[in-house]
Amino acid sequence: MGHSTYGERVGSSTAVPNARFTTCTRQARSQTGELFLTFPSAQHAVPFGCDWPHGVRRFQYAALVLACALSGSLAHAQTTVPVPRSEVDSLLQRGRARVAAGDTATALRLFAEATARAPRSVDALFERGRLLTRTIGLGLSDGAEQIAAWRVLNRGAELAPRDARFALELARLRLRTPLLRADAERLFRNALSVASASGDQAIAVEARWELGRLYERRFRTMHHRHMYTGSIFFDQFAARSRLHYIRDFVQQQVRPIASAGATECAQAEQWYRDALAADPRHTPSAIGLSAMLIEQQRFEEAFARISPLLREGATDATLWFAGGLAALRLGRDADADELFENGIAHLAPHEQAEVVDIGRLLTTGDSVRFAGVSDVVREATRATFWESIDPLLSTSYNEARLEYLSRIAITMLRYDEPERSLRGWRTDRGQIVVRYGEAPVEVLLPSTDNLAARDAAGRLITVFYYPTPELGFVFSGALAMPDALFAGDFRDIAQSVRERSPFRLDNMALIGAIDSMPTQIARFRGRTTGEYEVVLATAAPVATMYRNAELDRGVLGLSLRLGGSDRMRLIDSQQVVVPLPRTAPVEYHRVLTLPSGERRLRIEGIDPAVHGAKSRAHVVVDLPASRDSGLSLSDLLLARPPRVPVGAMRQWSDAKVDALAGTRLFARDTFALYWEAYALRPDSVGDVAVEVELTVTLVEMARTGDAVSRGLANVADLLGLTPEGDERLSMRFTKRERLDGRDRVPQLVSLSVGEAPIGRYRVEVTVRDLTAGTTARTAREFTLSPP
Amino acid sequence: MTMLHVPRICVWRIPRSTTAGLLVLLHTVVVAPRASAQATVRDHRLRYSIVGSLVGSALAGGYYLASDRGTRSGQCDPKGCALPYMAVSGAITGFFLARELDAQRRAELPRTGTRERLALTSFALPSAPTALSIRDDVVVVLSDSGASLFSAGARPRALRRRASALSGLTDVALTPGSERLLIAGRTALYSMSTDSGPATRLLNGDITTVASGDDGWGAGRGRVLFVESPRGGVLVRDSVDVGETIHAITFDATDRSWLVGTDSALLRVASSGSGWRVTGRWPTAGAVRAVARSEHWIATAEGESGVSIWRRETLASGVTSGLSVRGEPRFAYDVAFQGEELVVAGGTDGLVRVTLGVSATVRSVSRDLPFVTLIRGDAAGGLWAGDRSQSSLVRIHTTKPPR
Repeated sequence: MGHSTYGERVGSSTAVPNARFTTCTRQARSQTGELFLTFPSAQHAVPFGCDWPHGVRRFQYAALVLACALSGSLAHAQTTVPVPRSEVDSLLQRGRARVAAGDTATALRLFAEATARAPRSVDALFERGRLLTRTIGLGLSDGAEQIAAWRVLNRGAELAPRDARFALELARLRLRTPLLRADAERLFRNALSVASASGDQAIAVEARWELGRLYERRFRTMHHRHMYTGSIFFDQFAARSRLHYIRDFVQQQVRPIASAGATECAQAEQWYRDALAADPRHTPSAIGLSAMLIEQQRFEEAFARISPLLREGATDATLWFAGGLAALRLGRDADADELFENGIAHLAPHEQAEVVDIGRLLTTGDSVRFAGVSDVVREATRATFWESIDPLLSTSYNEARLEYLSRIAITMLRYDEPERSLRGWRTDRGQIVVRYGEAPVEVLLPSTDNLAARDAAGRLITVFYYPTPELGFVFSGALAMPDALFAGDFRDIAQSVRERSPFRLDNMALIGAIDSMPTQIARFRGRTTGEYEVVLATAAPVATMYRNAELDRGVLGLSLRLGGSDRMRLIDSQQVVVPLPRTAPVEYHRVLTLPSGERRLRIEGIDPAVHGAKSRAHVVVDLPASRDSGLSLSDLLLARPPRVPVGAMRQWSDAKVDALAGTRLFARDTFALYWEAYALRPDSVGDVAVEVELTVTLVEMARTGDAVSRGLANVADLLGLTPEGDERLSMRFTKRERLDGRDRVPQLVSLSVGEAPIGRYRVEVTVRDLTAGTTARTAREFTLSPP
Repeated sequence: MTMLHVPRICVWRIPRSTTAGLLVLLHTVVVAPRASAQATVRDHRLRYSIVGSLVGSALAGGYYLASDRGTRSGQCDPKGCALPYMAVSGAITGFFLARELDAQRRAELPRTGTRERLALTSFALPSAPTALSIRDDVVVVLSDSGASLFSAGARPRALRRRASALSGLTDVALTPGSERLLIAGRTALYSMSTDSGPATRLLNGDITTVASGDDGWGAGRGRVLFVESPRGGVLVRDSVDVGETIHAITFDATDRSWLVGTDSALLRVASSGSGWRVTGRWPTAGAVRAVARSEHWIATAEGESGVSIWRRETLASGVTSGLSVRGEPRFAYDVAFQGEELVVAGGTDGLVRVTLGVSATVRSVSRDLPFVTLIRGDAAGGLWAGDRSQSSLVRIHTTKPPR
């Protein structure tokens, strides 16, 4: 900017008749320990101006002027030693370095020293004024700093009236000044005028951007505004203590104000556009504009505006995240994934760590444990976490992670405060958005009339309400300012909700559209020790998946993934052409030879052309490493009866049965029950003799009808008046056969359901080795449905 | 000399508080408006402030008349307290009210052209419309919930819904006679009867756009244009790589060619006897979202880059540059011709009418549709629009709609 006028060191405070200036110089003294006065008649100036106190009589003014004149002359006479420019430059450089390092206290001290040594240095005044502006809060408690900043910047503006930096900073300062914020717009417009008149395009763009932000803030405090329709004012204490208070209040006591904030939104958009017209690469304006467009669901426009900047290599992470959010809303998931990853890459390292950290999505205890593990384990846990909540592994991107990153993007666009280096996800509202998504119901209300709620009195009340899990959070914040904090003890409430439910994906329509695949898993011993044969039988319910689809055939992609403690890997995929309409499910059978350990299996069936054609099953199979050397039984396998007579069986494949996909049978069905007995002791001639007891018990009857009749039926169950709990079938038989070198003895039994009551059953098989006298049991539950 | 009888109420001594209040008022209504006065919207702040002040004064007068002098002791004095307080409060209220109303009017005011009011008939859609096609007297509008068919006659009505449960649908076209629907999606191109029956896959892949011609159809998949048309008595499906990603297609019946909008150009793809090839290329300012044609003009909507328009004769003569409309609307979603007048769907900027001649001039802007993203003309010269904010199909009447 080239403003580097330097003044002289002014006289010490002892030269000032401070008896008369106590009032007006108190703030200055509190800042620096020095007492300086503005004195226009002197050629030099002092850092702090002095507003004449009201109520002082005329003769007192005259005396004061005389005293000031004398002091100024004296000071002028005393302080003619020029300050070397390099010394002030050095102070400024050191101060800037401290600012960059985050040490604002030292920086402020250095800048204050610079302004003290060179009171006419506009650079020193600007740096000090700007830093003071950046470090003050919004409340009344920072009044001293606000006045100090105002005086320093005003002094700079007097010295360099064509330097628009001061006008802009004064406007920014006014924005942070309590009770005077409304005047900030005028000052920003003034800064724009000064910048335009002096040809300072950069400041003119900044001023336009600030005006855009100003209107954006107004929009954000107007949007979602509701008006009271009843006589009851929102009570945050009742919201905390009374069940359904927020739900009832939102439904009955308020209604949204139509088009609230629309004008502010349009004006913010226009200011951002003006800034971008002057400087198409002004990233903050591009971010602001994209935020406004995204708020209005104008995703194409946002994406079109952001894309060229991203292609040119924009370095601002927020812009990448905004692009990702717009792409995701446009259904361009692959683009969104890429943009979000780029956004993470453009974050500062400590912010990267925050975004990828899943600790915020866990309960407090888990997050502490997670933080304490090694880097390798943490990375593996993170990968497993995202994989476990990925709705569909078959798609090339993780929808749950995309949703999480889109929430991060929302918090960045709404709640970021660059002046305070505050990221939106760290704010109170941001934390809630990250955990539970955008609030489906957001209500902004005038301040409460409850004087007991001191933190909310005179402040804007924001209510986030999530109907599905019925969660509500209340915040309060200053009017027309971006910050809002948990009101009252809602911080504790949010914490307790986190302990119950740290991360929810209720807002993802995809999750509700995924059908379950009925699945049956049966474990049999493998050929070698430590190896198992796992029979997997599952089915895609195409009747539900393709319900209402006006299509002659579907193309269903079936996939099977397998994983242990590590990530799952694809082990089979196939495409099935499904002629439509079709009611029978598409079955998928597979026999897996697996080593012992805990194994996770994920089966998915997807037709991307049809809305609801998505289904999945996730099974965890425990394959114990140690085997019982005594008599033991395999899992029971429910199967269709064999179509051909079965001869001698050595293993389950000899039974020639099709495993049922799932454990659901229909009335009047006939089914087969297959199991294997291990470690039977042969007698002297090599035969094994077993006694088998098979019991089928009705665990729970399926009830239909209204609640009253179901309740009565349950009472009848308790009294033993219904068949619930009865053993519907009990059979016992003995069998002797030659072991013939086998390590197992398979058994196949066919059963008919007949007209048994509809409900949930348990079938239990008890095998007694008649030679050894040992016994083993195995059981499985199944459901009997109407035909 | 005539004596002027002044009512007693007017000769009150003006208290200092009133003077201060009037000074504030003066600053509010005179100084502040001048700083940001805009000629385009009539400034109501002074008027509203005065009205507010008068209302406040009247209320103070009412208080003076209604209250009993004896009970006022210790309360707000009507002259020194109630009058200035209520007058200034009323003026400030009026000022802010006027400022808000003026800002609203200013936001609604078109940046260029005149403001147009439209007569509309709306039809609710299950979700926001994404594509629109009209042929003969049938209108089909595509949304995330499938295709909704409407009759485009004198009394438009909803006919039926088709293609339900299909996902990722991007574009739709009606074949001649409105017998079949061609529906483009992210996984395939489908064909189905407009009446009943399931959809059949014609082409697999991510189909971005589809259009029907007089006797066939064209569809874009990435950079490849697929054209199915009769040749030698049989239907032949050709494909041509146009070298750029295809976003929009329309059939130009005038010279039986396909106009193809890509990332950076408008292409003409014409039959060369044995197949199809690119015979013309006209650069555009941005990616083409939609192509429209009239008897004399061809226009493309290019999003942020606005609208490009070419006169047919100049295209034939090899001239590549055409007319353009930039900045109004700020984002051109779709274009259509009503006669020889161009209509642009500008999203939240509304429906923009552009008069074409030596230059393209914005004639009028209508903000009656809050978020118009689709626009098509029907055979009768009417216009149909898709409004995203209200999830509706809208018929725009040039005359008052029939009851």
